[in-house]
Amino acid sequence: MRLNFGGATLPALLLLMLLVGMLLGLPLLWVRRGRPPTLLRRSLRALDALRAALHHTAEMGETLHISPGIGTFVQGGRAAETLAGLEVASSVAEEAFSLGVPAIASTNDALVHIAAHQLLERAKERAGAPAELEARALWLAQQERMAYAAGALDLLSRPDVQANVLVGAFDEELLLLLDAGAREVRYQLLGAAAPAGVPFLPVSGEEFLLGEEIFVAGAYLRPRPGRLAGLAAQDVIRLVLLGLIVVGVVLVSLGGPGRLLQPLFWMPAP
Amino acid sequence: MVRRIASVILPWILGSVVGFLVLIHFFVDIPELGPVLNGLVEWATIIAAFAVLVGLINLVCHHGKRVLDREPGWGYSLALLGAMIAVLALGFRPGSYGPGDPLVQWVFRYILEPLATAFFSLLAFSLATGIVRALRLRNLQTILVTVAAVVVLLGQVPITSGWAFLRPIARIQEWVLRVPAAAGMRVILIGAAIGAITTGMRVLLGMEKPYSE
Repeated sequence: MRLNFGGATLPALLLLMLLVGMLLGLPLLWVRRGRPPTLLRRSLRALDALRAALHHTAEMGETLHISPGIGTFVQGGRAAETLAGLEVASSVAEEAFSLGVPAIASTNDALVHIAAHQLLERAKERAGAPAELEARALWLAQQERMAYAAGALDLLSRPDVQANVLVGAFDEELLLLLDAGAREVRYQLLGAAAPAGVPFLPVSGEEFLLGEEIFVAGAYLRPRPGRLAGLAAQDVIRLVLLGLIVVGVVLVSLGGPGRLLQPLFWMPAP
Repeated sequence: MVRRIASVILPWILGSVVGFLVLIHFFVDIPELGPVLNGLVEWATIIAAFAVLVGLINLVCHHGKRVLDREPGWGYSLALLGAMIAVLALGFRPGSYGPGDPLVQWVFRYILEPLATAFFSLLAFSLATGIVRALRLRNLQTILVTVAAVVVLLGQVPITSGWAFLRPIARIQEWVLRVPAAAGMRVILIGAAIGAITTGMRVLLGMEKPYSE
């Protein structure tokens, strides 16, 4: 894809990046001055339930399974969803370790496996958990969804695994995993942003994070300045886009100048 | 301090510079940047391949130990090691073309792909149990999802095209896919895109450091 803003593509792109950078930087300053941007923050019921479930898992001496999905970091590998999944995994693991709950993270890519392993180790360190507490990252397959799903199903059938957090880059295999989880596990938190995974969330009967929510869950679980700034930036960008869409729809409906804007608001059906 | 520079600051600077350059190159055609950035993408592929190699060694050690210690389920570990050695032997044997070798391709085409297809055919049963589970909840959301799923399924089954009384379902299915489903999916896609942009920018600006946290 190549942009063309009347021949001024590079300056326009740099200006856009500067704007997004400012949208992240300004809230960061507010947060650092002790004024978190709570105006547009709403509660995510799924995450409140997660805390209660982790306490229950700790009381029962059970294990937590976490997965950032089937993505990877290389080009076209759905890096943003995978990063969001790892952010959630890190926050959930830290909370679990602070309660003494062992955690296993399963991955479908060697690079994500290395990142997950590192994140678990750091989360354990931050939580001040004892060294003998289980914190394992398992590399189940290399970019092979079927093999990954088969391995993860086996993990979910372990009797000690009673909490299951699947948030990140998931497609159809999410249905297989959530179905097994519904039978084998006491608590599940699910989250996906891909069109192939999202439709299965409502039929899970479990708590879930839909679309953009997977990108903000980390900020809710472990509200650090950078994450809260991201939350505020996301809300502002969303409001701006909402305004643009409304203006565009009105102009296109009225005709005239709308015709000029039509290409900007066109989007192929998913 | 040295540890912080090596594990936090240096990776952040390197990551940000490379990330911004790749991002700019993705949108703007700058011929001078092309060879450099293609080289960087190749580096990423090599690093990923090396990670796979390390993972394989780890896998052999883990499952080899399970087999030697006769741990529960050691037979599965033996099968895994056997399959791995067989595929590697096919790929590395004298005269082989590597992953493109006909024998390796045969393994993929006639063993791996049918297995994957068979495994994913289970989705239909999982969907059915999911719908039953959702109906038990009896809330508006799950009822709507279930009704839409049934309508779309019936509308797409070829047999319904021959039955006149089911033709309206095909039209309703078309409308469901074209209007509410497309609108809902666009909302989700736009939201996810905004989330992906801010997540990416946070990593590029060093506000989030997945490599050092």
